[in-house]
Amino acid sequence: MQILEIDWQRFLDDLPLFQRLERETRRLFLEIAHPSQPVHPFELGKHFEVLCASGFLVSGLKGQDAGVSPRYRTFWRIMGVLHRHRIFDFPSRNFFDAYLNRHFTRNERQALYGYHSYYYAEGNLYAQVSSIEWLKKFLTEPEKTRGLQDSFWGERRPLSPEVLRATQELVRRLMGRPSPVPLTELRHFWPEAGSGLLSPSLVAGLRSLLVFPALRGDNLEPVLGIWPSITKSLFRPTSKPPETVTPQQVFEAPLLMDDMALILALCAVEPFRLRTEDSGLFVRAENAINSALVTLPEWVGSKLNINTSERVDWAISFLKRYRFLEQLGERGQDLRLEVSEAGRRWLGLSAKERLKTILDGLLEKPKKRRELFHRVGEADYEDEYEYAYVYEYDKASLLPYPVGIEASKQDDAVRSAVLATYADAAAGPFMRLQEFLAYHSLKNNPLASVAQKQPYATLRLSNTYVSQPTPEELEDGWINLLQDFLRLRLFPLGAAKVGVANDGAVCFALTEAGRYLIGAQPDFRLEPAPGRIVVQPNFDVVFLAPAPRAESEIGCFAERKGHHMGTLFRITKRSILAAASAGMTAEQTFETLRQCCPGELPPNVRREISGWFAQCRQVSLRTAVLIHCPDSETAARVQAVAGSNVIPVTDTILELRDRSAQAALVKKLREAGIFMSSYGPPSLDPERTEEFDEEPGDFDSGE
Amino acid sequence: MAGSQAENPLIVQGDHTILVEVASPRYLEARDRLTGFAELIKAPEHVHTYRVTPLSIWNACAAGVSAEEIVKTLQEFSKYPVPEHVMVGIRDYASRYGRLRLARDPRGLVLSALDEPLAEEVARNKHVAPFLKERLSALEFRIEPVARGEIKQALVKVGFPAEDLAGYTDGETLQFALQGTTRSGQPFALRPYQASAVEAFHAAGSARGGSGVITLPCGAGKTIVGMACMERLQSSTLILSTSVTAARQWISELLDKTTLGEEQISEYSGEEKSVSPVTVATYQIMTWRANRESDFVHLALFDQRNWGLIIYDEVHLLPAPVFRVTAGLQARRRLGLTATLVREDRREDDVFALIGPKKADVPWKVLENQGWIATASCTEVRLPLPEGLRMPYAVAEPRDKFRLASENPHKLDVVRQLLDHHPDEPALVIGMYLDQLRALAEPLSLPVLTGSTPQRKRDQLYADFRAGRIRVLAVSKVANFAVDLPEASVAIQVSGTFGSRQEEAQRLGRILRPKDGRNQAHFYTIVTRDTVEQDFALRRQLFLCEQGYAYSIVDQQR
Repeated sequence: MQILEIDWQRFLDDLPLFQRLERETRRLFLEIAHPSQPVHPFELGKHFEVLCASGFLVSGLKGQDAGVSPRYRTFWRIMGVLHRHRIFDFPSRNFFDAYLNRHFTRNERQALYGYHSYYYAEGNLYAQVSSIEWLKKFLTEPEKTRGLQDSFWGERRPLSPEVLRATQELVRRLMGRPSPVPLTELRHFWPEAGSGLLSPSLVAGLRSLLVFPALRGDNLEPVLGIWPSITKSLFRPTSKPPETVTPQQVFEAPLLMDDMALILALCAVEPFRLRTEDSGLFVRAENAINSALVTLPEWVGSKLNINTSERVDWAISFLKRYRFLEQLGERGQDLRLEVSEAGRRWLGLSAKERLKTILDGLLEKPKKRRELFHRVGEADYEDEYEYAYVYEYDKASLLPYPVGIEASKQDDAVRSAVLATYADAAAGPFMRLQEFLAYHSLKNNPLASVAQKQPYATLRLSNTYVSQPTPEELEDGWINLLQDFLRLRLFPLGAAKVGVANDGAVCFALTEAGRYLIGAQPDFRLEPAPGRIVVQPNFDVVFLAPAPRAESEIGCFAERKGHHMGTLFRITKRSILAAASAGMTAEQTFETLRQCCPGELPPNVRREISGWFAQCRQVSLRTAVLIHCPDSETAARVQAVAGSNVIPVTDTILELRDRSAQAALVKKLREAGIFMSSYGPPSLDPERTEEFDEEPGDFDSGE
Repeated sequence: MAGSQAENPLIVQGDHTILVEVASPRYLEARDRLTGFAELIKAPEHVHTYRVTPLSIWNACAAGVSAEEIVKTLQEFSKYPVPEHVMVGIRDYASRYGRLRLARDPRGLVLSALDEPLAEEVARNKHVAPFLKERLSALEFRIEPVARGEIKQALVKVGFPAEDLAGYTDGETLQFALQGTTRSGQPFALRPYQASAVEAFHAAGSARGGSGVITLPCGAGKTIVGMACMERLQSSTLILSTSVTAARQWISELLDKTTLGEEQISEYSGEEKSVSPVTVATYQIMTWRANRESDFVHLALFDQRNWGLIIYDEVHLLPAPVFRVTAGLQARRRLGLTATLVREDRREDDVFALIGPKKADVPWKVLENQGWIATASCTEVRLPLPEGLRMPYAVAEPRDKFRLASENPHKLDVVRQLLDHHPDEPALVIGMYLDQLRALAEPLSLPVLTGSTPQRKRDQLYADFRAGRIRVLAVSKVANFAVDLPEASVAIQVSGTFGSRQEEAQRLGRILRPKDGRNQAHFYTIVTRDTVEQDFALRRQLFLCEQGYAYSIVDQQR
C-alpha cells in the first residue's frame, strides 16, 4: 500500500496543530504549499505568516519563499490525499476507484480483486467493499479477508492477534456510528488501540479496505469511517408513507407544451437557420426564443434545476421527435428548421388537444425491429454480420432516458414501475418529494430485477453508466429516475404541480393530466385559469396577476413587452400576421382571449384583429413551362394546335399544362409552321429568321 | 394574494412605471395621491400607466410632498410588494431636493448646501463650478444674479435641483381686476380648479410661489388661469404665445374679462410691434433674425419694461433661444401654461429649472366628469379605394401612395353624410392637402382657411364661425394650435399624418370646450382601408386610446 502506511501515532500527534488553523489556511496549506517548490508569500496572503508561525512552512534561503517543513512533509502528504479523495462528501464508485488506484499498487489491486476476470474485477470489488457483508465477514471470518491474507501480502505482513482484535473493535465501533469519527478523537474513541497497537491496527484496516480516511466538509475535518453506503444501510430510518402538506407557493403549467407552441409560432414566421458545424441554432434565433418563453418563477428554476437553455433544448427535441419541426436543406446549403404540416395542424388545436397529443405519444410503446449489425470478424478480412433487435420510440419516450445504453425491452418494466409508483400520488394532495422518494426507494425497484437478469449489463444510474451496480447504486438510480421523471416529464407537461412547503422542501401533486398519464383516469381537462388579465383599447395586454398558462397562450399571437406581471404583451399587426402564418385563425385568437381575459374585448381591438387576419392570403409557388409568342395571333394558333393542353396567361404567353406532352406539341406546332425554341421568346430579328429559311423543305409542305 | 391587497389598484414595476387598475374600488383615492408625484403616461380604458421620474419627484417635493409619503402611498395602494430599488430610488431623488438653496441676503445671491460633502461635490463639478463666483464659507457660494437660471439648469442636470428662494423683483404696478360680467354680457367667475391652480402658483405671495407650470387639458381655460395670476400679482406682464391668432385671442380675452383697457394691452408680432403694460408677443417674432449670424433682435423685448410676470403659453413649445433668455430672467415671476409637460425634444428638466416646478395638474377625466370639458367620442370611418385607383396605388411610390389614399374622392360622400348626421352642430373639416380641401369645400360650399389666408380674413372667418354665421369651416394645419373656437363640436379629419402627440392633442382640443346641452364632441377620421393611410391611422388610434378616449371603427361600403 502506498502513502497511508505511516506512523499514525505521529500523525495524530501533529493533528492538533492543523486543527488550530482556520479553514482557509488549511486549504491553502494543502493546495498551494509544497515541499519541494517554495511558494511566494503573495500566493498565501495573510496566511503565509500563520503557516510559518505554526511550523508547517519554513522560509527558503532568501528568507522569502517558503516550503513545507521537512518535519511535516509526511503529514502534508497524507492530508493532501485525504483532501483529494473526499469519499464521505462524494461517496461513489468513481471515488472508490480513484482511492484504490492511488493507494494500492497494481499487484495489490489484483490481489484484492480476487479470482475474477479483469473486465469485471473492479466492479465486483466495489460491490463487495460497499456492502455490509464485507465487514461482517471480517468480524466473523477474518482469515478470509483478502487484505489480511498472508498469501497475498507475503510474510512481510503477519498480523498479530492483538492487532486483529483491535482492528475488529475499530470496525465494530465505527459500525455503531451514524457518521465517521474525527481523527482528533480517534484515540478516545478507540481506547483498545493503545500506543503500540494503533498504527498497525489502523494500517490493517486501511489495507483491507475496511476503513477509510478522508477530509470532510467545508472545514476540511480529517475523519475515519467505514464506507458510507454501509453506514447508510445500517442507519436507514424506517420509511413511512409521505404526509400531505400545504405548500406556500405553487406553480403549475404545461411548460413544455407552451414552449413548443411558442417556438413553432416563431419558426412559422421565419424558419430557424442552423449552423453548419453542429446544426445548432444561431444566436439570433436563440435570443428570440428566450425572450418569448413563459416566465418561470425563480424558485421553480432553482428547486427543480431547470434553466432556459434546457427548456429550449427539450422543446426543440420534442418538436423534432413529433415531427412538428423538420430539418431541411443540407450542410452548407440553407440548413434550417421549418414547421411541418403536422406542426401547423398541432398549433391549430386547442390547448388541451395539443397536450393530449403529446401525452398520447409518450404512452406509445417502442417498436421493435430487427437490424443487421456489422461485427468485425476474427480475421482481418472477415466481415461478420449479426441480427439484433433495436427498440425505437416513434415519438419521445415516457422515461426521460433508457435504463441501459439504449432503449431495450427492459424499459417496459421500468416504465410500468414508474407509473405504478406515481399512482400512489394520484389521490391529489401535495406531499414532500423527498419523503415520497424515500418511501419508494426500496419498494418495487425495477432496476434491481434488470440488474439481476442481466448481471453484466451496463445500466444508466444517476447520470452515469455503471456495470455491476451495487444495491445502493440501484437504489440511488431508482430514486434519481423517479425524481427525473417528475422533473423532466410530469412537471413540464403540466402533469404535476410543484410547490414549496414552509420548511423550503419541494412538494408536488399530480394534476388531471398527470392522472391521465399514469392511467388513473380516461381523460382530463385543461383550461387556462382566467387570470386577471385586461386587453386595453390601445392593444396592450396587461396582467394584473401572474398567469403563466395565459402568458403562453397569448404569446402565440402577441408581441411580448414584459415578464411576469404588468404590460406583458401588445397585439400588433405583425404579431397577428405571424400567428396567421403559423396556422392560427381569428376565431382561435378570440377564443383564447375570451378564456384568458374576463370582460369584453374592446371593439376597436376586435375589429383590427379581424381585419388583419382577413388580409392574409395563401399563395403557392410552382414552376411552369411558358410558351412566349411574338403576338396574340400566334398565341391563338398555338392554342388551336395544343387545345386544352395550354392555358393562356396573357395575350401572348401560354402555360403548358402537361410537360410530358411537350415533344408531341413541338412536332404538331412545327407542322403548323410554328417553331419552338427553348431559349426565350422568339425575336423578330431578320437574321434569326434566316436560320429557319436555311431549310425550306422543312416548312414547305409541297402539297 | 390577500383579499384586501387584491382590491388595491397599483402595480409598481421595476422600471418605475405604475399600472393603475381603474376598476379597483380604491382607484380614485389612489389616483388623487399618485398625481402628486407621478406623471400620467397613458390612460386607456382599464389600466392607466404612470411613471415616477426624478423630475416628478422634485415637483412633488417642491409642493411639499416627502419621500416617505410617496413610498407610503405606493405601499398602501399596491397589489404586490413595491420593488425595493424603486423605493430606494425615490428616497434618493427626494433627498436631493432642498439640499441646495438659492436665497438672497446682504451678500447677494447665495447658494447654500446643507452639508459640506455636498458643497464640495458641487464646487468640483465642472458643469456647476463656472457659476460659483465666490466661496463664502464651507457651505455657501456667491452667485452672479445673471447666472441664477444657468446654475439652476446645471444643478438639475447633475441631479441636485436647487430650491429657489431668492425672490423676485416686483415689476411695474398694474392695477386691474377680473370682471364679474364679461364685456359680452356673460357672467364670469373662476372655476374651482382654476382658482386652486392660481393659488398654487401664487402661494400667497411667498418666495415659494411665483414661478412654475400649470398643466390643464385643452379647453380647460388656461388663458383664464393666466389672467387670474396676472390679477393676483397686479403687475405688468409679457405674454408669449404660439401665433398671431393666439396672441389676438389673448388680447380679446383680456379685454373681455378684465378691466384692462385697449391702451394697456398691445400686440408684438410680425404685424405690430408696440409695447404696453400688457404685451402679447409670439415665439416666432422673438426668435426671428435676419440670418443665421444675426442676433435675435426682438429678444430685447424682455428688457424693455420692468415686467412683473412673464407668461409662456404652450410652454412645451418653448424654443431654445427663449430658454436662453429666460435663464437670465430668474428674478421675474414666470408662469408656464400647457396641456402636456412632455416635450418632443426632452427638455422637461430645463422647463423645471428655468420656468419652475409644476404647480397644478388636473386630469382631463376629472374635468370631463365635472362637465368642464366636453366628452369626446372618436370614430374612424374606413372606406375602400375606388377600383380605378387600385392599380395606380399598387404601383405608386410610398409617398405617392399616401397621397392617393388620403385624397380618395369618395371621402366627399362620407363628409357629406357626417355633416348631415350633425345638422345643427358647428363643425371643422381638417385636412393637410389644400387641393383636397378645396375639392371638398366647393361642392359643400365651405369656406376654406389655409396658411396663405390673410390674417384679416382669418379673423373674419373665425368671428363668423363663433357667431354661428358659418356652421362648417374647412381648415388646414394652421388651425391646429391655440385657436379658440369654442363652439365647434364636430371635427372631421379627411387627411393628415400622425404628428407629434401635442399636435394630436391640440387637434382634439379644438372641440373639447364645454357645450350647452349634451356637452358631447365628435372627432371623425376618414381613412382609406387597406392602405398606408390606415397604418398611420392606427398610430392615431393608439394615441387617442392611450389618452382615454373611446375609439370606434366604422366600415363604409362604397
